[in-house]
Amino acid sequence: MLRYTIKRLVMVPILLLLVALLIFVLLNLSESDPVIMMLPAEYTQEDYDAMQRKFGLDRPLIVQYFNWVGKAFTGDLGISYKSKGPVADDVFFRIPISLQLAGVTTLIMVVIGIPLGVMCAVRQYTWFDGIVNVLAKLVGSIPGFWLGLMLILTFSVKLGWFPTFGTGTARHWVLPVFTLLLPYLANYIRQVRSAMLDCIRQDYIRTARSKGAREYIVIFRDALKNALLPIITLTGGIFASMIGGAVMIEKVFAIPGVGYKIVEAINNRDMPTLLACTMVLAVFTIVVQLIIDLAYALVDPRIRGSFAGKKKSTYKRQMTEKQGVG
Amino acid sequence: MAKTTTAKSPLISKTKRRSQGREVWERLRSRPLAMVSLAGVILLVLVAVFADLIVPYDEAIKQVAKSKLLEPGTSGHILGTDNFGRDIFARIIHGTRTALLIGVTSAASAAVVSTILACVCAMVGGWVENIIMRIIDVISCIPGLVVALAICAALGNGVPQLIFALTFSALPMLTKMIRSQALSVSKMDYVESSIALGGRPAYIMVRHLIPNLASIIIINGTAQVSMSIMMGATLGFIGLGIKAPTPEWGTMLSDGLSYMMRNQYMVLVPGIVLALAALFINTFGDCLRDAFDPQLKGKA
Repeated sequence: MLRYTIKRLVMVPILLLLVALLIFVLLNLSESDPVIMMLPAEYTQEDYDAMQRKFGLDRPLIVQYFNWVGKAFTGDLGISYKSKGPVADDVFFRIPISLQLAGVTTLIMVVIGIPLGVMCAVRQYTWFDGIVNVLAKLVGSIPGFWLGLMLILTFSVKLGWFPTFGTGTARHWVLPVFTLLLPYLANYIRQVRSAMLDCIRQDYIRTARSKGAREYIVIFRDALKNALLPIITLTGGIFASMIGGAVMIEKVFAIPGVGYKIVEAINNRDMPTLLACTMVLAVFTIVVQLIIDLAYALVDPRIRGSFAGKKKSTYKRQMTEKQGVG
Repeated sequence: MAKTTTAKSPLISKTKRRSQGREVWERLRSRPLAMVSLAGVILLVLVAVFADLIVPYDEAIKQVAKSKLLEPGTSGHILGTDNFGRDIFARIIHGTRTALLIGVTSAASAAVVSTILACVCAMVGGWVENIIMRIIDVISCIPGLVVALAICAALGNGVPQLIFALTFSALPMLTKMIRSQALSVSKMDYVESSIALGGRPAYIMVRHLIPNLASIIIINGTAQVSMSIMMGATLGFIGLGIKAPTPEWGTMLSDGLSYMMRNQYMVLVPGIVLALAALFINTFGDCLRDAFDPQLKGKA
């Protein structure tokens, strides 16, 4: 377990460095010159050179990258092209807002999704299962940002039940959380259902039933307990992707989170801010994935055992492949 | 999966050999839902191909009505007009062409690239596989939408740039999925005997791997088409991707945003069309999955 933990922890900074390199390369595919963009309409060559030097854009890309990495370790994420102020000040205070949106939504998703998913699995192929399945398909095809617009139109503009945008009171959160929740919930219920079905078909369930255990005990103690492992992985994965998926929701409802800043940075072609925000999202994703993997190893003795030896067992390989697919 | 490898025993050779495609089609035909969604998909394709015959392209990009923001049902303008006096119906029709062009092209190129990557992983293995998968891991650390956003922001607006962005953001998931299938196929006995008989990697790839990966490629490729259409519209909504006058559903939505209080149809119509298109393609994709692998039916 210790060996596994250390191995995974060492991977985190390496992965982050590579992600930063990738974004650096992607953002520098741009043909437009940020220096000209920032200068007033009429400028001299001296102005140009001064501006270029100020942002370090006169140096080769690889030098820029290492400079950025070096500064990032001290919490300095560069200077915004737009506001000309430090990017870090503008990004860090947004992180809790985005986390709150994704966290609340995940919580509600778990509270609603697990019971519904279990019900669907227990009553496979009944009308209940069918209706949930059809609803999940319908909801999964609606673009999230458009759903948000429609909800604003109906519940804020027409009925006036909820505020249109911004944050503050609990009423501000109702529509965004609902908009973010719906597509994920649809998917979640179907995944919980399939995880439960996998367990219900196992031999130990038949054993439990044949020894005369009550049905609800079989479902909740034997089946759900075993299905919880894949469900936890799934929930963590969704939480991580929700922070990215909330970009559009934050934009539509004008919630000042990281996603909102990403869209703003893109409209302003403000590359340092975009880079910083993307890195924040990557850190989220990597840390959440790390926690899931460690928790998984902690809970499942089969995985823990497989790391006692040196060689990666086929079981772990299968599990990681499964996760990759899910 | 391994239906293509029917042994030529005297017993089996008497029964008629049927291709996998035919079996899939027959299973599809027996399900009404599959046929309805297929009809929807065909309708989309027809609209996209014959868009010019339905409404001339000029009507979609030029002002045709004297009055702006007309409500639907006005004579001559079934779905009304937008803030520039352009016919919304014409823009929706030609937007279908844009959406399908972008969705199909990017999904197809993502499928081709990830199939090649997955096959190389399965056949070569070792450090090559390691490098490919680590790069995929790095890309998948960033949410797909943000990857596409960053590429579009850097490359500027235009159809090729948009297709590149969507393809790139779709790669991690597709490659992971196809690779795990390719790995299990490459461990099959018939692949091993082919290697033992001296089959070269390229031959095995074309003869054994790709036919047995066909179902998973087609299923995930179809799902990717609707995801790409949605993501393309999302990018258009932010103002990235497609250049201004080209009719595109996402751009139409963002145009309508400023006039939402006066005329909500500018927001309503493109959204409904987008959701319907995604619903048809998603449902057809699900039916296709059931038809390819009846044992999976009912599972997620």
